[in-house]
Amino acid sequence: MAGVLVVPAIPSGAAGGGAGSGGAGISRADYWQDLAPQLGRYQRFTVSSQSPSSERSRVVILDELVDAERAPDDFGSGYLYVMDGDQRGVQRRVLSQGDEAPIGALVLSRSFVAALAPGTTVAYTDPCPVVDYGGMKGLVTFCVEALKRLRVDVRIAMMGDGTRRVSLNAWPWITSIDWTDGVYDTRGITASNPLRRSSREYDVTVNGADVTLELSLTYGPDVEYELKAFAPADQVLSDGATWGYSVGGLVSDTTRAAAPVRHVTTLAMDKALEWLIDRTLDDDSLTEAKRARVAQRYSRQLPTWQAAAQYVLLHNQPQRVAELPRQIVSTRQRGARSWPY
Amino acid sequence: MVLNLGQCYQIVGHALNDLQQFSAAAGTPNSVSISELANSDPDAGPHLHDGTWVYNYHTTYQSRVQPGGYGASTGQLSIVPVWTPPTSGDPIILTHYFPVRGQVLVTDTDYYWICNEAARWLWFEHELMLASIAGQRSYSLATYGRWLTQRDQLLSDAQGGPLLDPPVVPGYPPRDGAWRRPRLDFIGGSPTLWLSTPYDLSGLAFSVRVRCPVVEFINGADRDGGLVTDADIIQTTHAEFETVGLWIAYRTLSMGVGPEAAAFGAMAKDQEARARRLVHFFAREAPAPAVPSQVAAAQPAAAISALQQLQAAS
Repeated sequence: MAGVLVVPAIPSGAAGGGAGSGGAGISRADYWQDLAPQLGRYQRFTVSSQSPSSERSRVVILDELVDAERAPDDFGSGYLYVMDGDQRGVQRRVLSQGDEAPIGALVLSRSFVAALAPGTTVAYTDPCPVVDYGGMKGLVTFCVEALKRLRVDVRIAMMGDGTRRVSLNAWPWITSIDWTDGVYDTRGITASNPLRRSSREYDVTVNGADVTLELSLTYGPDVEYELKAFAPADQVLSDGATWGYSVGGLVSDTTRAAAPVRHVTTLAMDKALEWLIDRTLDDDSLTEAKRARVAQRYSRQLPTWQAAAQYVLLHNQPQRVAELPRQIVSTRQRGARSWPY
Repeated sequence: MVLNLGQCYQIVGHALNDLQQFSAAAGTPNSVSISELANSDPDAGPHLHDGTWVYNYHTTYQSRVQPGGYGASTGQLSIVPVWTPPTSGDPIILTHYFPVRGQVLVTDTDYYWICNEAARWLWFEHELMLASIAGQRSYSLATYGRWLTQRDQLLSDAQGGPLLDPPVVPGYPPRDGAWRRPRLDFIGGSPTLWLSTPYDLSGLAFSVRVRCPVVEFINGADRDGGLVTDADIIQTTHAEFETVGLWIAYRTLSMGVGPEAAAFGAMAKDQEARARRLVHFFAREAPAPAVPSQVAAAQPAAAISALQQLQAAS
């Protein structure tokens, strides 16, 4: 029997109060723009003009960057990401000596397909690009890696068909009952009421590649019910209008996910710092002193973010509602003082 | 700094203690009178200036003092062959080792040749202006194939970089374009500039920075044939030209016979060492391979000791 994925139940604080069903979620741009200033430099600029005497598509002139003294390598080796306009989402790297500060021009290691129009918004990031660039991992990649480690609640809408066995193959992340958290229905109440957690037992069985929801009771034709499940946060995505299960990832800045932005930033920082330390230590282009200084700076931050990431994973993930007291006490909690439910 | 040929041979001649410059008081087709040469010393006999080269810097005529041709009382020099008489005030140059130029008695090495030879061993930083062609990675430099013959003539980053990109905005300094990874190749002997990253637009003026032999760039232009007249200008400095010019002069003098030639040979060797230390000395040949004794001297003592132990064991 087919089912559809309905909106995720977003944990509080994800996208403002009440951003539950029908909520907008958090866009990819929101995620990486929260991560970027934590990790390094992040500034947004507006293109002011085009170069009249050089390669127009290789040079980006930003009046806000004019500075008579700044060194040619200050903005060098950083990344420019186009935020709007015809080339939205395109990214380039600044030449290592490409900061022409006296005229506020950045010279790029690769030209745009056309000169950026005046008024275009660009984001400058350093040390990581927004999306992967050459051998450099991008902010988005770190956000996706963080999302992979996080879970979100989802409700899978089902329609009864008179059987007790429902295939869950359409949701391949459900590999055991641990990825589910109850069946919700209106049995015993008026159908127009909100669905309630069913007290009836169910199970999830696995037979090779087949995963099946085993119900203890049947639902008749056209009777709606829902399976509450936990989904990897990187696979419950919205294109801005419709939520769905997708393995495509955060493909554009408008793609949205449901995990709280601060949780994602925390886990992403953990991953990014680890990666940057390794990369810095292997970077032969740096002097010995600079390599040590940069690696030390990242290393100093790492323990704080590691601890925060552990906290998020232990305490801020959706948890299964406890099983019925009768079952748990009889099997595991015999002799326990009292069960809170 | 620039020097003309007249300055060049005077620099070398003075350094060689060979050149004196005077003003002509009067002259005939076969003599010139120089008041500074008038001498009442009884030892100043008629043969004092035998064989001295006489050059009129103004008219560029040249001749030579004939044997016994010195009139000490008047400072008159009798010369052969005849020349167009100098006028009063014409600068007259006297030299002993070499004539200024080979116009007369061409079998002798002259200062012109020494200066041209010295200019071949010096280089200056030269910018070859090219116009970009969108997307094109190779540019023929065949025009400069006469002297652009080695890959290392492209200036290194330490020398200021091999390529200058056009300025970002008009009036702004050109940018260092070394990031385009310029490289010189010689396809069929013809120099070609390769850019790993081409220009996006056509018609942009960019320049390739190369080491150009001083002798190939005369009067501000790429020119074959070297220094021809006293007014021809080259790009070099007094100190560097003197160092190399003196080496060439000593080397030439050492090719004679007798003890004097041997002494000049030693001086030439010494002067060559000085010349090779110059920043703008154009080393045309690869460094000589180290001789075994030098290699051994460069080894750390521990390595030599280990080697000796191995030899002893075998």
